[in-house]
Amino acid sequence: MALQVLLAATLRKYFPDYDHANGLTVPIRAGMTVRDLAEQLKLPVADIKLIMIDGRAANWETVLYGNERVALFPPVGGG
Amino acid sequence: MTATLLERAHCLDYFGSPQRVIEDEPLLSWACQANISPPAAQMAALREGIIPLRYLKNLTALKLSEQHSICAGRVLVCGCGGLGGIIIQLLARAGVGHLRVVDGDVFYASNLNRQLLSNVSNLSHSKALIAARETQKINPLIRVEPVNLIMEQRNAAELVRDNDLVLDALDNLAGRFLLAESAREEGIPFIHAAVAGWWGQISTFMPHSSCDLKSVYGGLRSRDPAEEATGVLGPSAAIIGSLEALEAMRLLAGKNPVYCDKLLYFDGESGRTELIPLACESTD
Repeated sequence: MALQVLLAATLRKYFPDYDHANGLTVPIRAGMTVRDLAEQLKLPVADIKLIMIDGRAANWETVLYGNERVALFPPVGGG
Repeated sequence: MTATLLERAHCLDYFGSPQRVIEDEPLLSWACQANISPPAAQMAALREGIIPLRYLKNLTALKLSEQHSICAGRVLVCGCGGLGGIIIQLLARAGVGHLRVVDGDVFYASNLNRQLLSNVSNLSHSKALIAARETQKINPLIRVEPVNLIMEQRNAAELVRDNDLVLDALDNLAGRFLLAESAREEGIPFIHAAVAGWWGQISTFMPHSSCDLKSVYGGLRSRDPAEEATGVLGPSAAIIGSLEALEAMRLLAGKNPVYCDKLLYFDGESGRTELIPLACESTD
């Protein structure tokens, strides 16, 4: 079972071959949380403040079942 | 006997409908003779159904009454850099009657890639003073009040007060939280925006919203050095600044904000935009 993970801004540096159009395809086990997914991808959890799953706000404890589109956004702060 | 506003106006056909218009010079000379300010004069014209010619193309996207509301608007733009430069120019062109533009910094050569008010002849000059001077050249019917100061705890409430809207065009988180808090205390809608590299974000917080900047930044109060190191591309700042100006025009025109308790995230690298519902928490 796999899902699509979209990363923005500084998170992309962790995946030099990141595909802007399609993001990452990540195999998961059903029942894992967004936090488990981030840890599996070795992403800096503290930098990520906004999580969206299939267009809806989510959080670290949201459970994943596969086939979702998970988008992770670190906020930006320049002007 | 001075000519009335109606006598100084003329009528033209605007897509099949007659529309009275007036050009800047006769409106400004009427304001001078009537001893009223240019912003008051443009509102007087609109009340008589006369639109300053410079706003004609705002019709019919805007109704005449909505243009009047925009001309009556008072907006604080905090920051005259990448975001501020585009916001200030667009709101001035839209006819916002009073713009208070705040920035305590000067232009540097490294601003030239994105800050539309900067040019080679005004480097090391005050951003706020240049913003006011250049914007009055764009639209002499409005008032632009420069504040050549850094917003701090001691002056934030005074800067925010008496405005209809507060716009975040800052480049740091501490300033943003202070500005947001001051706007909420004064009961004024706050439009937040920020950019870095290819990316940008915008969100609107109404005074009674249960969302606030913590919904976006969590416990962060300073920028991640890696995020800061992505720089800012000119188009990213122009796009997010334009969205901020558009949201401001909606609110001034009496329409509902579209980014209230949501965050639009723009990704210029992939071309995607996402509208993210914010997880609001009680602010009590």
